[in-house]
Amino acid sequence: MAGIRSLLPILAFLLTISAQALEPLTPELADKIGPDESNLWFEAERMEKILQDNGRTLNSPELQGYLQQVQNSLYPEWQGRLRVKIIDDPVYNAFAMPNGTIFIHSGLLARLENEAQLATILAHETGHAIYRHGYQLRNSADGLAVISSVAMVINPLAGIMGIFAQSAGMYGFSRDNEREADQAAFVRIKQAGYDTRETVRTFNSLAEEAQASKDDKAPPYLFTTHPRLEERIDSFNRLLEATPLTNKELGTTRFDQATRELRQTQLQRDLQSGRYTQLIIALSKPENRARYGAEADYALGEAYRLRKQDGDLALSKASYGNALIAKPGHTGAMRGLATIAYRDGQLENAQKLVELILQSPEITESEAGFARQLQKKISSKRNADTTTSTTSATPKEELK
Amino acid sequence: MKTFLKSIMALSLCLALAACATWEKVRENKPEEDPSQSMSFTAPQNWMKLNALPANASNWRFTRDSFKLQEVVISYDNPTAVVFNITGILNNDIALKVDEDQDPSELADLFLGEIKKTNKDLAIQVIERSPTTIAGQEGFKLVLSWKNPKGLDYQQEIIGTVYKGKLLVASFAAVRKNFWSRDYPIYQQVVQSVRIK
Repeated sequence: MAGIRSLLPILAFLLTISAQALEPLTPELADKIGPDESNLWFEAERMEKILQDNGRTLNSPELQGYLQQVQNSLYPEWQGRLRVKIIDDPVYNAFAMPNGTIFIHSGLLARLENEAQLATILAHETGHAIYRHGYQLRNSADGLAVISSVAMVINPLAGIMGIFAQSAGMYGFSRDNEREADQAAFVRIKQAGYDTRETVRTFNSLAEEAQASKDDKAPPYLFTTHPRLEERIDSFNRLLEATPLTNKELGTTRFDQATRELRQTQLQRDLQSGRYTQLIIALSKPENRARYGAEADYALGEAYRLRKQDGDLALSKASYGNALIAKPGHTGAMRGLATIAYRDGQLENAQKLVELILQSPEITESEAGFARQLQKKISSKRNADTTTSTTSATPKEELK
Repeated sequence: MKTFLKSIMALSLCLALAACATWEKVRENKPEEDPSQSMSFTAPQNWMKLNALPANASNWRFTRDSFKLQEVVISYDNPTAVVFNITGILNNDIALKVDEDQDPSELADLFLGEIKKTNKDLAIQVIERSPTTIAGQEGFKLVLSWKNPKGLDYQQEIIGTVYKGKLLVASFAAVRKNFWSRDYPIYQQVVQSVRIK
């Protein structure tokens, strides 16, 4: 035991040395990395395969192609070697593997507003890979200490990623590492012609949502457990102040077109996963709703109706109303209103709405089935009400 | 004498172990009933019945080969216990509250939300969400699919309703290849045998 103790200072010294800054990766250097790092890259590729095999990565060649195109425009000298993958998960997160593969969660991708914001996330995460932060963290004493916290924070992927997560940036790197990645990202975003103000807006809007949902039991971001978002905002603000604004490219139309399907699917996924508060926070902003059309108002109505907090039903009705204004005859919105009317005892209204739903040419078989179930409930309640009012009448009232 | 004592001790040990077994074979089509005697069903004959948590007097789990290959689950309990029995994960943050008059469509959405929140490490896909009946009660049906960490495809059917203020749920989960189609008819027999009083 004493022998081991005497080795500790040497071990600490070795760890400190290995944690020192490394030369940034270039395509040429990537071909000459040492066996240790090479093993880490091999592990990263294995993890990518596992994520793909168990259905955690989204299989959408078009969207994948678009993300890769944005990444290639940020890092043209890598000629597509820095891959981008989408994780099918509603959590707002992104992380870099040591081999340069960037994983962006579908929840975060759906929440971004334009291509410049996407570029911010990709360039920041790639900055970690270029500066080999994962490899540094893996070799440092800090890296060993974070294993248990990683398992708690990245719960959805902890089982798959295991201790490898420590080097995938899912825990979050040191402040210096983060600043280094910000600087690298800022340069690339500017070079690619994007509006650099979007770097701050990206993290600002994520921080707003994090703040608004801080009391929720399931925080929407990995970053909410660390004060990282505020630090990113400060860091990018400093970079903005030091650099004159030259470009104003946002790429909103391209981004909207490429992510339209994903954003619609993500609304559905958020509802299915019971992420009502997160959905309400995101869709409460009119500019966010405008990007989705009637489906956003409908999803907001559903989120309020299913969350069932004080005042939610009134807000739900208003949102369904907006969905019906945007798309008259929206069966989902009518269905939601019918359920609320039934719950409020407005049986006639509920009945009328159900009849309208059943007459809709767009209705699916299962929607029709559920509507008929509600119709039966309305009928039986109406019959019960009639019976009760008849039996409860006093002889005098009956005479009247 | 020593040999006799040893035999007695060995026999006692065997009996004790048998009594403590975490599962037992369903030897006859014997009806199972919850403690309040509000619901009953017939267990699948020759399948294994779990005798340990999450199973209990109101939550049953059966399998033919292994719980990792196929399982039939029947629950008549509060939402926390039912989700525990279906997922095997105890989640004390279940927000779902059931009431007798609940619309099955809404119940389907809320129940699915709880299942997905509890089973965060699985990328669950919804294949079907439709109305159905169980024991003559209007209810919902969900058909889900997912892959386990080794990439094996699973499928699950969950049907549920509310009866006397409790959730009544039947579920069948199995490896999609071979096991799903082979054992689905057995699950259907169990569902058809569910009675409420």
